[in-house]
Amino acid sequence: MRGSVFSYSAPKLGNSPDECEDAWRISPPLPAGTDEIAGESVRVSVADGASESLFAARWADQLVDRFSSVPLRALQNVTDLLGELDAIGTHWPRVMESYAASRTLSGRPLKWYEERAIGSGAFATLLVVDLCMPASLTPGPDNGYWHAVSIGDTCMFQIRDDSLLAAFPGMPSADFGNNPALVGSSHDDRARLRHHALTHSGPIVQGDDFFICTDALALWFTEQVERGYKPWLILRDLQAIGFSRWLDEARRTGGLRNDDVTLIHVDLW
Amino acid sequence: MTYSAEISRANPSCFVFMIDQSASMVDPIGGGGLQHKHEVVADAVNRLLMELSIKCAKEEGVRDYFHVAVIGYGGTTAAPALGGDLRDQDLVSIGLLADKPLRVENRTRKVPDGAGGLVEERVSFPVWLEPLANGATPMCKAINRSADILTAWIASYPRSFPPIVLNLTDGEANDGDPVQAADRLRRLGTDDGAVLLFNLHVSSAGGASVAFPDTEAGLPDAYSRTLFQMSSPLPPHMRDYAAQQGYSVSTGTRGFVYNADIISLVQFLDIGTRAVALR
Repeated sequence: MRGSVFSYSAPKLGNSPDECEDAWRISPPLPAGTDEIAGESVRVSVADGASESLFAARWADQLVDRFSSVPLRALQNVTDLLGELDAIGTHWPRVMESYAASRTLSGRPLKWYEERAIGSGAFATLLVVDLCMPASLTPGPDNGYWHAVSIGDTCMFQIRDDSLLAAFPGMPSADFGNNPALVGSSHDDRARLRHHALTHSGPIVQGDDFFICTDALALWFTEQVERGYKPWLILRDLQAIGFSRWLDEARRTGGLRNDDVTLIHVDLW
Repeated sequence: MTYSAEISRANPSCFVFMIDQSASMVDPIGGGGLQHKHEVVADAVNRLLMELSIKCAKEEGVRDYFHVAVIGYGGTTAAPALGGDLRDQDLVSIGLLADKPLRVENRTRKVPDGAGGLVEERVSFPVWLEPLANGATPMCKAINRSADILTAWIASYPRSFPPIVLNLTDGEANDGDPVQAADRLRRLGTDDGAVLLFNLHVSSAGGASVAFPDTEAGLPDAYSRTLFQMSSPLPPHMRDYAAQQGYSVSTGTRGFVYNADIISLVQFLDIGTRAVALR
């Protein structure tokens, strides 16, 4: 697979970088010093921690860490997906116990609101996209595939020949809001999660672009498309334009909601 | 007037609690409740402050999305009602407030055990306000004190989400017409909208509980009708959240609750993606 991966992430305006509650992984990791994909496949895992969830960033990190290495079948059927989420949820109390112990050891025991938050669980959206193009196949229109799983409003957009080929999950702008489906750390809502977990797949060819965006940017992208614009033209050039410069402008002019923003651009050149 | 301003540390909002601490508040709440009105009100304020703190909490502390004033009125005064390290302060940040309760009690609550049953769980419960009941009911003085605090606050944060004032009372004001004072308070506002005045009426009169009504018809007495008239209509997004929580709403729905729980008010506030389990 010939391609490059460019990753951009920024906290909500007014927050420090370590307060960003988006988490992401590229797997296998790109070789040091390059943005080029090494191998036949690449997986992008992105989780967006919920603002009102105290341990959201930690939970989002656990999710992408696990999904960077789960078998592909967990992205292809919901039963396997739920099995992986169960495993992460089962491990989560130990993560919290370890954190609480470290706080106690450092002389800063958990505050009352942190103790209550542990009981409430942590929440995040999740989108995992796996792109695969086996090198053994003859180049052609149907020799590569993407598989993806989504819970919530983190979105993937596939561009081919200067057109939007696929959006997953395909949400109209009106469906974005403050109540997306979320993966919770508790097992209580696993049954309901089945109704909110989406899987999808499609073909890929060299020349495609994939943009994986957390909700504020996904909403902006969707609104641009609904108005007949081609937002990928700007996002494709962010290396040259500068992500921070573009983000500041997009927020200032009111087109982009102030929120944590993560963008992963996979360019299959 | 859109009630859409972002609530953040750079652009905080403000919450003012006005607590009736007059002698009549020592009477039991109506409808067969076992608690006394001053206990109900103190418990409501403590739970609201707790939920507001948790809503803004992150690992390294509670983010200052709100400034909070707690004014008690009883006898001849309307004055700051928080104690301990927060004594005599008109306004405190939610972060400071979260770190400075009078005490943190251990309580138990029942939670699902994952197998269809319930188990008891120990939880921390912070207490900022003790029940108090003494003297007359200077509600107008409290409203005017709130107006003074908010006039200065709005000058510092003119583009913020408008302040919310919650009056918790049995409604028996005896220092003038609270409707006029409330009108003046509601005329204050930021670029984003007018001050929102909501009322929790705790009454000994009994009758059916009422939450977020759109008419005063059916309210049990003159006190409740007066408090309904003083209450602001819910802005559209708050109506939507109220509807999501099962309340019947219309464009006339007001921020008024009679002998019922008002903790859902915190869920009407937007600071970002909500952390709620799937439904």
